[in-house]
Amino acid sequence: METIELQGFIERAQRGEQSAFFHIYQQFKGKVFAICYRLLSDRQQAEDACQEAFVRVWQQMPLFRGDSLFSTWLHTIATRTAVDYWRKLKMARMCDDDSELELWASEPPPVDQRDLENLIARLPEQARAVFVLFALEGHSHQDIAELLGIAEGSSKAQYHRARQLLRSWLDDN
Amino acid sequence: MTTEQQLDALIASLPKQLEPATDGWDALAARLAETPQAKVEPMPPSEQTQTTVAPAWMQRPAANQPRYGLAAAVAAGFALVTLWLLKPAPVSESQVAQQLESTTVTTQPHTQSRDVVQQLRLQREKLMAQVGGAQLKQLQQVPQGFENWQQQLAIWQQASSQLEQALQQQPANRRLLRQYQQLQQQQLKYMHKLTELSQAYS
Repeated sequence: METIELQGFIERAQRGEQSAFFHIYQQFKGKVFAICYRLLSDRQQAEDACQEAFVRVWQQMPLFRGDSLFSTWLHTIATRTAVDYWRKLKMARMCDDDSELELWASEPPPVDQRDLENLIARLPEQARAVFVLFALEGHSHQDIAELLGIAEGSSKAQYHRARQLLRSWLDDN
Repeated sequence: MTTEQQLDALIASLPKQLEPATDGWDALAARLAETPQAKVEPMPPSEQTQTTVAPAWMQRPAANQPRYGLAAAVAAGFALVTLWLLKPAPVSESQVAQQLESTTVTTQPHTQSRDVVQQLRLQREKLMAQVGGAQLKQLQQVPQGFENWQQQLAIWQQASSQLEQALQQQPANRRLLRQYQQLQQQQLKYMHKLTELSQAYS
């Protein structure tokens, strides 16, 4: 259930009022940044993706009709934007050196990186994306397969791999 | 050894929100000032009142009946694909409008609503891929005012995708279907204008 105050901001933002959109931004930026950061594991990229997500939300505000919760609608846009950035980043890194990336990602993290947040950031890219979308964002493997352009079975396998790596790294620490 | 339960507990303890290093509003506000919002055409009077009888193909079907509105949209999708694929030169707005109008009477009464939404999505993607390949990639010169045409198309694509998701949940929602058709229409008109002006420039 969304508050009357938020509904007011939504309606005003739909009419193009930036000041109302500011309140929406303040309310949701933490959640949007979280999905961006956890998918991209890079603060600068995550901030760029977060900004892009809110630009897209702004553009599409007039199309929001209240058929779902605003937070759900916004979260869908944010997830898709983050996945777009994730895909670009993955391509760029693959062009640099794929084999080196995979080796780096499989190595145990340094001893001082003990919290789960940092361990997630160390996961191989696809395993990390699947893990974040499934375990933290609550998407189904079917949704994830569609979002990432992979088979549903691959999504399940990558999730299993991510959990195994995390458990192993937690034990190392 | 860390157990599955311990890992689940750690996952559950992660914060739902993370704060960026900088607030970011100033940079965002600067971008918003240059970013127009999507335009939504006002609903025609026939849809603003419940007393007006909608055309048969748009009426909500009974639970045990097929969804004619969506089936008609599928037919429109097929027709538009054909229209674009068979005509190497840009089509006129009147041709697009005429084609959309004529396809609304074509129905596929045995199509299931879920399948129909899936077909809508596939046809839209196919349409955009074909048009993008055949028409837009041949752009000799980008006309003035169309510099951000790729971004514009991306916005339409995203909006269409969201409407498809919504239609999946509410396949009998006439407003959603109408918006979906309007989006397709706007996008085709935009692409038509773009290719037409591009040819005039070159």
